[in-house]
Amino acid sequence: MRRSTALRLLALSLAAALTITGAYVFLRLTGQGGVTAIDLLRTALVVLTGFWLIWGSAAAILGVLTPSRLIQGEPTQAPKGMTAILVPVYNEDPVATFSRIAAMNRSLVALGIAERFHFVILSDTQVMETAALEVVWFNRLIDEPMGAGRIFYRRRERNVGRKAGNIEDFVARSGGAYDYALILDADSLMEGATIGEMARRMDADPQLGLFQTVPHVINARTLFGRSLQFAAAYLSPTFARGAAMMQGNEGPYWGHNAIVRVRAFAASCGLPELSGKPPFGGHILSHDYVEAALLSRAGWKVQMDPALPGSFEEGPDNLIEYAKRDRRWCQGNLQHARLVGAPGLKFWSRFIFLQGIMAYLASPLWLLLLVASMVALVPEQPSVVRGFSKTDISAWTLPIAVAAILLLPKLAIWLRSILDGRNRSFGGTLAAGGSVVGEIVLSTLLAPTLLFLQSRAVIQVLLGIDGGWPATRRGQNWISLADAWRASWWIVAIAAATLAGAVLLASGSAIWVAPAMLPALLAPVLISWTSRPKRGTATPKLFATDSELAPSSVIKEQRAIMTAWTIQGSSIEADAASVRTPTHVIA
Amino acid sequence: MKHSGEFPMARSLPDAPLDMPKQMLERRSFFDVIRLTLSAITGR
Repeated sequence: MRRSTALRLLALSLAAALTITGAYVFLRLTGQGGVTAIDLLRTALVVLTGFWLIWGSAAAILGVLTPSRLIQGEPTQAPKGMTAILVPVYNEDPVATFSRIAAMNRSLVALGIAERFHFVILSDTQVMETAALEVVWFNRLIDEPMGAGRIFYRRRERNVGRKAGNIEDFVARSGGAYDYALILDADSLMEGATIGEMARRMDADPQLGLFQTVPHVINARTLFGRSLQFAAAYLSPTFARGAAMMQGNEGPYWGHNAIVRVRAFAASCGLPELSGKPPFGGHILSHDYVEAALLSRAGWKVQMDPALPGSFEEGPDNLIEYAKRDRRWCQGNLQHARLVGAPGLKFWSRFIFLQGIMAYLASPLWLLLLVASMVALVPEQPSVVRGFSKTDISAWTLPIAVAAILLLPKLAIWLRSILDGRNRSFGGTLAAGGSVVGEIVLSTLLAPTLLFLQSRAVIQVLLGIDGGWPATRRGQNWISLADAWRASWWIVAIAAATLAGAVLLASGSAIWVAPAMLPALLAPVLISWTSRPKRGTATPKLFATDSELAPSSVIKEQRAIMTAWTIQGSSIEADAASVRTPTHVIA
Repeated sequence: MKHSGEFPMARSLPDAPLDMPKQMLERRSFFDVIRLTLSAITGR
């Protein structure tokens, strides 16, 4: 039996055993004197939600127990294969995006391996002013070292098939010229050494179809953004290491900061439109999971290495932007319900689809459990099954167990980081410990708001309703209290009604409802408060990351380029008026 | 989609098409299989 299969079985058995134990304890507590229909429903909900909670923690604990090994070859050794570094853009700020490309290019040039890599900007930009600026800044970009003949730009007039269609268009037209394609997002940034290592790993294993890095979030400016950034840098690699141990050669693809073997990708990953109308039919939205499953189906290895450093992305800086992204991912993941039974997929791929679906369905199920628990307090309900005798098990057993499942992995990561010295790059053991506690507090405070937002997203997707978010302006991170109220008044109303109902109808239930509903009452304040940008240029100790305290060379290079280009910007963009009509880019 | 001649990188983006066939992700019904078989035989 393969190691990954054995670990999957072990983790699944552990999660199943703990879930069954939890369900028994729950039924034993609630079913004293008689088990009602609502008790059975609640037990079923405990099983559904509890399993996925334990499963997530099992992956993290596995990651804590697994050694982290960095295998990196000689950075100056040029790979044999030719790589196209694809940068799909869609109405992005060209100065920010192209400065990242310039920084990555300089990093490759400095290593002496640039001739094996081409950059291809795949623009799907629909705003004509932005498209004109892309052309202006592209002309600046090709003045970069070795830029001529290695950096390309093309724009589609219609973004058919969105990002997946954009990549597919490139593969269909120019894919035959390249061995590998490194697929990035507009906000991706990677060290040249990391890019080189990815291509060399593709050289070394002809069966490797896709190789995914674990990107760290950078450039966060708010409390919310910096807490996400800290979690991505400090906690995620361990979760990912545990997941990678179980995934083996059927790893994930997150749509960016990953390299693919072009011929394998072309032969296996042409995505059809699904029959029927959106949200479940039409174009496949979360294409990355599907592409990973299709590569596995065709016999290619899909691997991830959380130990490989030098892979970065940017994240949402406030909860509204986070929820907007989450709404898109929710729709994409729920659409995978159509693909769980797709022909020929490996068991693990189907399981990953199911896991992605449950990541979103869990929120409404938790809410349903809360509502059912309040209904259960209505007296004189008939028993449907003979009950249990009195028990000495404390009613706090399960809440404490849930808290332990949520907190244990984070504390274990901190303890391991003391032992392996990793805390030093996060400001020391005390600072890292403070940040872990801060992340736990902040994520606990925001959890009820996210629970409501995710539940609404699921309902909207199932009913085919548009999200209807208030517009936020580019570059403006701060959400005013008024905007936060507009986005979350309904959460406050539901929380207030639930708390009032609990106090008036069954005061004994208030203590169970309060931990979820009290933070929800503060949703607008939390959204606005966590979106405030940090003051000054100094890095606060809370949520300090390795990339903030000692930015890697490509981050520093990109910031320097961005500053220089922003100073040049006004004169360059003034010239854009003369090229407003992009006649030189034709469809 | 190509760049016009005046574009600086017009002739550099490689013209190297690669076939990307659509994958089957939905199970076909019995009638779909019969319809596809017949259309393959008749060439339509």
